[in-house]
Amino acid sequence: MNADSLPSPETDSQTPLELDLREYFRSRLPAAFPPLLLSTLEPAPRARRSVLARGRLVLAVCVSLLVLMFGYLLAHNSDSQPRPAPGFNDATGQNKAIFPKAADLATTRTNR
Amino acid sequence: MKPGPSAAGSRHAAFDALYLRYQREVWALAYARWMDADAALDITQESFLRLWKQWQAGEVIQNPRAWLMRVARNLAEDYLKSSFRRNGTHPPQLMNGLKSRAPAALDKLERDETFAHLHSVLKELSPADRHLLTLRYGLDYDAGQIAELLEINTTAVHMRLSRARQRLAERMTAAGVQPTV
Repeated sequence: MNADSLPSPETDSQTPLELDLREYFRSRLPAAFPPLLLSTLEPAPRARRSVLARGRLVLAVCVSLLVLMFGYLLAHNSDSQPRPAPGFNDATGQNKAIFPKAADLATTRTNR
Repeated sequence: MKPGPSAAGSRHAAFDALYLRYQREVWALAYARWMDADAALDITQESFLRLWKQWQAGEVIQNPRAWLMRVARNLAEDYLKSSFRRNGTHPPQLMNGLKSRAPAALDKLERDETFAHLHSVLKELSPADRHLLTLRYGLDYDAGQIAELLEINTTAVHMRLSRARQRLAERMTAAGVQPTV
């Protein structure tokens, strides 16, 4: 007898215990293994990608609109120079008198 | 680059072939651990699903059989605390009716009793003994096939099988159970 060979189920050399064991394990072994549901593990990239692409497109449009608006406002404001505030008519920030001094008024009157 | 539909189809076919080839071995290993056919089926399915995920992720697995056995062994060890046991890989209705072959009607009671005794005695054996007996009597593997799977020589298989049977017989005798045939 070959070293690899063991008694087959049909041979008489099996003990009652072996027969019981064979029956027992066969009763436990599934008759058919259920198929693996691999499709449930497949990702659905298309739909997700299209949603993402749409979101990105909307975002890009909004950003470009904002940039355009900002540029337009900048250009518009640079055309009309702002008026200097009363009392501050130069860049030094020194406060100049709004009303003429009393001495200046007197000289103008005498000149008249 | 993404594989085309034909590449995906061949990948599915290769995986199906692998599933058909090794499902019983993985089941036997898991069953030997817990003596629970449903749990073994869950573990088998989970092992293969994990292998599929590895394939999908582009992982190269040189020896899928050894990989599956290792994963199934780990899953079986973690079975009691794992989440997939609570949630299940598949809905219960899919598993119903797949557990076992229907026994003959006349001697059902006697067989059930014998199987219950065998079950309880087998539970007392070590998982290694049970694994060996499951491979031999559940899958009808010969010594060469068992030796290849367990990576031991055939003489060791014969010796271990003989000892496992002896331990089983001793415990059955101690429990007052005699084989039915």
